[in-house]
Amino acid sequence: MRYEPLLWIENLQGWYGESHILHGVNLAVPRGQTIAILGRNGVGKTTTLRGIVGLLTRTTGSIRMNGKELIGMPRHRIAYTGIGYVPEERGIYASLSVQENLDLLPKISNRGMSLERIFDLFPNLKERRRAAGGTLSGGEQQMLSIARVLRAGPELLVLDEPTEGLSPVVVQQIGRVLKALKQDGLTMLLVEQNFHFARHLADHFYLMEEGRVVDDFPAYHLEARLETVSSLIGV
Amino acid sequence: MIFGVPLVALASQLVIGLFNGAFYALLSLGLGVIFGLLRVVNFTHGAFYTVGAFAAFLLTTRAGFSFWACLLMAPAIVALLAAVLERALLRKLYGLDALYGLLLTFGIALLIEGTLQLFFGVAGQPYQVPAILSGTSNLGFMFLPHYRAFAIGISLLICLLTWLVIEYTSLGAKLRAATENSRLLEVFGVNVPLLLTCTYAFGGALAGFAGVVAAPVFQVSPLMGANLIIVVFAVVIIGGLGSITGAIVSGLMLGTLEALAKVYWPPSANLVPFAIMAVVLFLRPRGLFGKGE
Ligand SMILES: Nc1ncnc2c1ncn2[C@@H]1O[C@H](COP(=O)(O)OP(=O)(O)OP(=O)(O)O)[C@@H](O)[C@H]1O
Ligand SMILES: [Mg+2]
Repeated sequence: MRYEPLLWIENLQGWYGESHILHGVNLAVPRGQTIAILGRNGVGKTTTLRGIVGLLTRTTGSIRMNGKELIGMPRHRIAYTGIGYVPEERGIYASLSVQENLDLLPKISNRGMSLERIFDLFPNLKERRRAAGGTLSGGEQQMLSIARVLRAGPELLVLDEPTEGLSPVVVQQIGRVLKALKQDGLTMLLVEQNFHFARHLADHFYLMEEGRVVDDFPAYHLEARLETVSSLIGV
Repeated sequence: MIFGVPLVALASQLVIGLFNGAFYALLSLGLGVIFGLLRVVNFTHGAFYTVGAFAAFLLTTRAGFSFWACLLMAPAIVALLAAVLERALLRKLYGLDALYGLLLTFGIALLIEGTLQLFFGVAGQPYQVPAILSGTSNLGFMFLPHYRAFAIGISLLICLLTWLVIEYTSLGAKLRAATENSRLLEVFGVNVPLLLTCTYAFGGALAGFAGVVAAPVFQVSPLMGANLIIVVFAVVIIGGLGSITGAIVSGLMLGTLEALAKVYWPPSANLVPFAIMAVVLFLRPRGLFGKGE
């Protein structure tokens, strides 16, 4: 099944408790590509990613990763289908040191990145390896959040607004890292408000509105679509 | 003489204080680890201690196992009991108000203690000190019973090992991470439900271990844990809920202070833990070592 996308979401409905947030998300992430989800605040981008990794109260529809159905799978098994999740809130464990955060995740494949390569990509983390996670700056936390899932060896990197609230220098640094990973062939699903950041990375775009995917197009149609996109997400 | 008390009397009381403190430490350590991860105030803890003592008593008197074998087997039995309780009952209450867990564990404690009373009555049963530890050494300034020295030593060793595992191993890092944000840890591929079962079982095993160590000194009786656990809750509150260091340090401290109170003002001894708890709650509600939320 070479032609089945790595991740394939069909008619995903999602709930937080009683509130019905996702009303039918369809999207495909082909192997080796970077997919970006765009959309205004509160349309359900984060909720879609949380649905993928099993963090919603309830989901229906279908999420197939590497040919395996994720809906109904115990939450701790999901990572082993090849998913590395970088949450919007970064999820750094404040009481663990940087090194402990880096060593925390179980290896989900033998593609896990070596510490050497990690410190190559993120030199700041090397200097701070003994510091407690809670003392890191926003940029350092974001780097650590990306670095530690890379250690586990995912096939698909799921990133929720990796540049949110960071200085231009750090945004550039993270951009360089993601480009390098893309060149290595890593597949990525990216939620990003920073449109200019996303357009340098993504091969394909999805637009969301009110819990639904309303449009999608390849990167080379972006110029032609710029006006619709701008009106939809307000860039 | 120190403040009008002979050194011998003071030193012997201090040994008794440390001995009691070692139990407080073992029990509050287990309570603290369980609360940190499961967010359950485990009222079954005293019953686990009792079950540990009874398991040792039965294994020795009915099946002829030595004290040393019981030291391993009784905690294993309590761990198994705890694991079953967690899987079958406690698990259903995660995510609900902490009150439910408290009521359930309290109910289980009553059930266990009631069942033991049914079979053994309320009277205490004696348990022999192992022969090799039955002597006493004259240290010049006091007589040191070997068994008490052994009990203090091994309890502290277990506390220290637990602390090392939690602070310095990758398993410990997972435990600490799960205490902070267990849902995300699950997303990363850690089997958190299993971790919770193991933690509850381990906390139970610590209590069971304390029960075995206590058996030769205190009488083995169905209510031995119920009497102790109230003080242990005071210890946990003084140390700070969820603090490992706090549990160990305040356990030993409280045992010692209780012993000193017995020497200098005997009527106050039983009140000391609660008086200290009140002062700590007033000045530092999070406990001496608590980090706060
Ligand atoms: N834990 C929650 N419980 C209930 N409702 C929630 C929860 N988190 C988010 N929501 C709601 O779900 C909707 C979608 O939120 P979501 O976080 O997915 O938006 P988003 O597209 O990621 O927005 P942003 O760009 O601000 O991150 C919003 O209306 C939000 O109020
Ligand atoms: Mg979001």
